[in-house]
Amino acid sequence: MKRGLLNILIKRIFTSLVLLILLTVFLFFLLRISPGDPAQKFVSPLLSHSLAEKVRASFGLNKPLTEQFIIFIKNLLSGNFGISYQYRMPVLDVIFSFLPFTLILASLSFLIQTGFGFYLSYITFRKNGGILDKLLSKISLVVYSVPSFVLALLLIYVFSVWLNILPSADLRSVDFEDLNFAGKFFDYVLHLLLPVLSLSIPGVIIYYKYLRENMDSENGKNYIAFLRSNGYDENTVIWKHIIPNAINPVISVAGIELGILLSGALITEVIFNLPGMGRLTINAILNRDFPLIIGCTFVSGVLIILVNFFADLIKYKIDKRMVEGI
Amino acid sequence: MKIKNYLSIIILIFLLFFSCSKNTERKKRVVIGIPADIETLNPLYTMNINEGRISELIYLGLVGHKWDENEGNVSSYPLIAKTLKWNTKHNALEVKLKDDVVWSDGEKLTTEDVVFSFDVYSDPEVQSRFFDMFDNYYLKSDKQIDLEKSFEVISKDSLIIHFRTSAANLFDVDMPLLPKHKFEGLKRSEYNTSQLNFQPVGTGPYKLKNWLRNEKIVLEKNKSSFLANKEMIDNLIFKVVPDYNSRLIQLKKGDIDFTDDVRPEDLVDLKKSENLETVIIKGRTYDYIGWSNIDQKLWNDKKIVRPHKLFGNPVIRKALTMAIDRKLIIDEFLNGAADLAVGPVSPIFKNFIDSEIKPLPYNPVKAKEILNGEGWKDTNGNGTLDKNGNEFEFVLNIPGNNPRRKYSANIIKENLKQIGIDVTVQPQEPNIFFNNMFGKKLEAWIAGWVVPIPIDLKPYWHSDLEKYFANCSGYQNKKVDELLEKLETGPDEKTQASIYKQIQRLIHKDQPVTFLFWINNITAYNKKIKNIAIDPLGSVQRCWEWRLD
Repeated sequence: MKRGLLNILIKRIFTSLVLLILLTVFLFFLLRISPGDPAQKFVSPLLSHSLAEKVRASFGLNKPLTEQFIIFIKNLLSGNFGISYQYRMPVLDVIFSFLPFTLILASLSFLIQTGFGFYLSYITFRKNGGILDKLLSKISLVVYSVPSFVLALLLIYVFSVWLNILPSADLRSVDFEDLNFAGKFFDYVLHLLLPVLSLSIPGVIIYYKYLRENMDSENGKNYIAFLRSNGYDENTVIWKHIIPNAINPVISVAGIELGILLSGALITEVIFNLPGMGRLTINAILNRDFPLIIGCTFVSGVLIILVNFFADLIKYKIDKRMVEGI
Repeated sequence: MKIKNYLSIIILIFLLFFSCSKNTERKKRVVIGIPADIETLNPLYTMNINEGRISELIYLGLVGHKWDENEGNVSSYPLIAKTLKWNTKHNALEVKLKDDVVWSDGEKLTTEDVVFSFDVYSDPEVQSRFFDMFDNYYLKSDKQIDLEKSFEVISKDSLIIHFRTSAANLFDVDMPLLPKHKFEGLKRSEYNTSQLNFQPVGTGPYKLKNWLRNEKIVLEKNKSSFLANKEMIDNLIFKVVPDYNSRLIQLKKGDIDFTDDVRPEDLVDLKKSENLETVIIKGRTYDYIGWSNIDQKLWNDKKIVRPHKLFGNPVIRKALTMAIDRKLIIDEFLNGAADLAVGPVSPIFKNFIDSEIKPLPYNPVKAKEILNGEGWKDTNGNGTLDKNGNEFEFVLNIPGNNPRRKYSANIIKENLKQIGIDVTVQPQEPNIFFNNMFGKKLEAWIAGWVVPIPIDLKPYWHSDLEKYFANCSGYQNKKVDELLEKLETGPDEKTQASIYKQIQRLIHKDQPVTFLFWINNITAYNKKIKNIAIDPLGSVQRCWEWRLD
């Protein structure tokens, strides 16, 4: 069985690589045929017209498409995504300066979403019909329906403008460098509280709703009734049977959600002025920074594939019959 | 036991929290809110306003500029130069450098740096923003300055710059100087991506302390600069806050101390804040409706000029201007914080503006009469004017990210509908919009220009459409061309004023575009900042003279 799994893993890695290359190549052509000019900012009455031509040539955009493509593939295979037009630095250096923040924000938010989602569904399941259960069933739809940017603005208004206890934006204070280690830590915590909350609250509700419904559904099945009638204690029924069966579909959703978070939480990043992958990618698109767009897409693609792969592995760990699905 | 553990954790958190005091003594600092991060600090490549204004605090040129409010014009003064002396023919400038100018790494600035800088700026391989702009110098065939003919180095602190023509002026020598000892080891084609873009070495009053991409740029006092003084602000922090509303919230909260491009509708609210000061100055940015004077397709396909079927006639363009209620846009959208525009010369240039030209009145009845007189009548009764089977209908393009132009477009659409013209408003993604506008692919559009200082109209209004691509409407008038060319011969200021006035009259008569309005610049800052001079040259200019309460 383990050998079979290894083969499947190798196959999965190979198909993922092919998928990534296809994605990147598709994007290369899409960018070349889409309207807009990376040298647009050099086209100005205050600058020489020939400067724009020279810049365009230095980007290699005056070469035939096939030649551009060959150079692109050669660079790609050697791990060189080129120089960002906008940042004047190697693309990977730019991405790696933005990625850590996105990884932290996404991980924190993901942990809160899944952790609280699971906890709330478990608690309300155990105390079915209790106050918390009734309250959550009423407000979950409202919270879920509120767009994250509205929630973010609401949080800013309450905590930053009205109470004035939390910063309204940014990752750090302007005098961050003057703080000692503990000060820096708390500065980060204070600045991340509102973005993480606004990003996580709708997610908590999604996981809660999804898991709770699955648990109810499992709870109504015959095998659960059979176990209970045979005298199994409630903890065993819940932890060994209901939760493993109810959580399986949620893991797929979690994989997709984490992938989206890792690609950048654009709205949260814009509202809270945070330097993440979402803003980086959008700015690259608006500025027609072709190498950076491809780099961002590639890295996001890698993260999404990796996360989904791990989600599949966890699903396999829970249900060994899943191996073919992987 | 459990309670003990919890208590220990809480005490630890409190200890950490209260130990967060700053390591260093609080320095004098001002936080300036900017809407986007900059791309480079290297003056070779600074393109946008913020790059320019930050970089020019680090790198200085031989001359500086000041706005003269009384004259309504810019005046130059020696900055790195100690003295500047023109010869009698006005084609050679003797420059003596100040004795105490050193780079921020301690090296002394010499005439070698001056010559090197001009060489680099004009080098095609470097692709600097000043490339191809040294027409008054002796040039090689590839447009690079001929150093042997143009520069005569006398000593380490004295040189003579020889010009090809007597039309040269101090704007020809105002480029920020570069440290030769830092650049010369690098390949010129790699300046664009070199580390010097992020680790600048200049002679200005400030130097770069820290740059966190998409967050902030921190400048600190450059104590070795000849402009540095004890009272000046220690740190200038340019904080990136892309969202306009967040910038205002932070300004009110005191998180930032200074921001410009404030919208008129927020002025009343900002004035209520006791700690804020607001300054309104006349702008040099105008919005206009571009009418393609020429058949764009024929021009793009065959480079042949033929009048546009709708907008090729100046009488029609005049009628269109008269049919549009420009004042309504100013009152409704800009809360009155703009002036009706009559031509391409801003009212700030007091000596050059022709104040006798009055805006065409808003008169839709007269506009319709003019159109009827030109043969545009609603013969088929469908509500739209027509002539020879062609309906008077067109697409008005706007950049999709600009609410002001969107608002203007809707007013224009309604106004023109009243006189029987069918307008379709089409927003386009900005990059695509400007690509189309400069490529002369649009028949009507709303855009804006910032009039440069010193004033330069040639790129926008000269008939040479291949060379002057910013003449997007394809306007052609030989008399205007002659006058524009005459300005390049370096006439005295009185003659210049007369020429500018003639140009304005001709353009007003031809109405190649409909000039909408000059937008006022509104700056808001914390009252703790003193000695600020905000003028058309920029708000952060000469900020080494700012003081803190």
